[in-house]
Amino acid sequence: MPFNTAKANLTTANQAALGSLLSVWAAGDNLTKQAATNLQNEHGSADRRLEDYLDKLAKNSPRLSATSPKSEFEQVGKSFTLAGHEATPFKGAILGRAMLLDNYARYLSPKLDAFGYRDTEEEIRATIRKMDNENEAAAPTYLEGYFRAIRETPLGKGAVFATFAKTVTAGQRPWPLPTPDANTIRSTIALGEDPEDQDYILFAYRLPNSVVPLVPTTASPGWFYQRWFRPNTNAAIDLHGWTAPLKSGLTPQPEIVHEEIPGATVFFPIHIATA
Amino acid sequence: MKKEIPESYKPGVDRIEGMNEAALLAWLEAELREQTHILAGKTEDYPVQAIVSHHAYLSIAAQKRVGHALEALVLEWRRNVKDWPETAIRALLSLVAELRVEGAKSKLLPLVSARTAWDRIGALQPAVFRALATLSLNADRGFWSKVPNQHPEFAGMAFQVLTRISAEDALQLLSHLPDNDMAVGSVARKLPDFVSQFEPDQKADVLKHIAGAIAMLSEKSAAMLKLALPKAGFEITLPPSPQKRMKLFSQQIASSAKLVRRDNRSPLEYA
Repeated sequence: MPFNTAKANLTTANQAALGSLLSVWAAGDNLTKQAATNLQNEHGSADRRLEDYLDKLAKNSPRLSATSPKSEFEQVGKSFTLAGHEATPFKGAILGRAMLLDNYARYLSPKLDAFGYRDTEEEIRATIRKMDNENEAAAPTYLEGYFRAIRETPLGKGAVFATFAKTVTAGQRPWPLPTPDANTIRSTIALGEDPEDQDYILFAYRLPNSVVPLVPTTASPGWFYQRWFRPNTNAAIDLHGWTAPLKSGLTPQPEIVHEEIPGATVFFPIHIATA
Repeated sequence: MKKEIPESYKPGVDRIEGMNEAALLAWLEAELREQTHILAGKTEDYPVQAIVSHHAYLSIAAQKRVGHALEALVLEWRRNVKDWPETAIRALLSLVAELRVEGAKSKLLPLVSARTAWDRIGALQPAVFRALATLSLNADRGFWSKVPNQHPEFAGMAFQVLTRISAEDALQLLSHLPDNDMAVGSVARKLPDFVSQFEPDQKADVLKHIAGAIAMLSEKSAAMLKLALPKAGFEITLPPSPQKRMKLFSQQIASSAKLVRRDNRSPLEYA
């Protein structure tokens, strides 16, 4: 359902409140301006949930008109973050996620601690780098716990964005070979808040049977990523979103969102995109 | 010269710059406890990655204020260990390490040295050691050299730290490495990089020393360490282990005894 159709179904008072909120955002900085544009291009929802979402935005418009409405925006959007069209045709795709290697190392360390691995932060990062293209079967025993820890560590937090190769064929990996450099990864999948010149760990994985991939909605990326997110106005047909590359010359990649899952379905080897 | 602040970081940088120490303390505590997130980032960036990303663009004065606030939070946690969720303390320890808050070191050390405090922090023991590891300099080599005796399960981490701050002490530590999987695994992961850091003309001596140290370990541990080196292109020849040396010695005694008198037996049998 497109934005205008959903908005037309609101009460007159709520239509006015929403209109006024959009005007405030449109007059704000680049982030709030983009949030207003994104909302008006929203096509990601299959049913009346967009209408409910707009209704909530309208009712909370005074608080959302504040200078930095992050927490209000994300609170109101909670029920809409995973409310997009089901991306059923891509359920079997091998999905791809890129995480800053340093940040992922922080996520991994509690599991390593629990397994009795006693490594410094520097060594955890170095070991993850050494796992680049390393097959689990051929790995020495002193790396076993790292593979296990990756399987038991969540692949992200909140609404998890993932990319994939649109032509879904058996075994089609989401990342090109040779592995692109880190800045190409950052730009292609629009990880605009990540610092430049830092390594990424690239995961390839399948969703567990119980988890459905969804078209990202305007609420999925949270407040700050409104700056980098662009809703797919053709979402009802494509059944996925598109990334908006940060640099010209890069091809937008298809994307979906899903709920938090552990890394149990990660395919090894992992790859490292270096800066 | 500092790099230009990315547009999306500017509001967050300005907010931190505008906070005094009391405000910083309250904000950082709320960030660590996941009660608020004011900096640009995605959900998985909060709180550590977002703070680290913005910190690089703060003025020196603001960076100092952040450092002082983090030190104060470490003290506060030490006083009230039970009042803090584990995830908040993991984030706090990551921050003091990654932002190189030197003053935090002296506030963390009592947790390692006092038995009751050490027991109280439980699952956070490795995270405390990890923060200390990142903050350690050459002057801390004495502390890390004693770790294998005081906390044997962290002997491998001590080796990893010493390879960075005092290579000679790292080599010494190998000679009295506790024979447990945790310590040996940590050494195995670091060993190839450690050998690589020596000049070509030093490598042979270093490998000989390592081979001697490995020979003192059990077969299982020795195999793990021996495996780590060829993967990185280093070959070592192990001297016989103490058990093997004893067996060889017994065999030599047996054959020598027969040279003296053909009916001599080894071990000697007494009537």
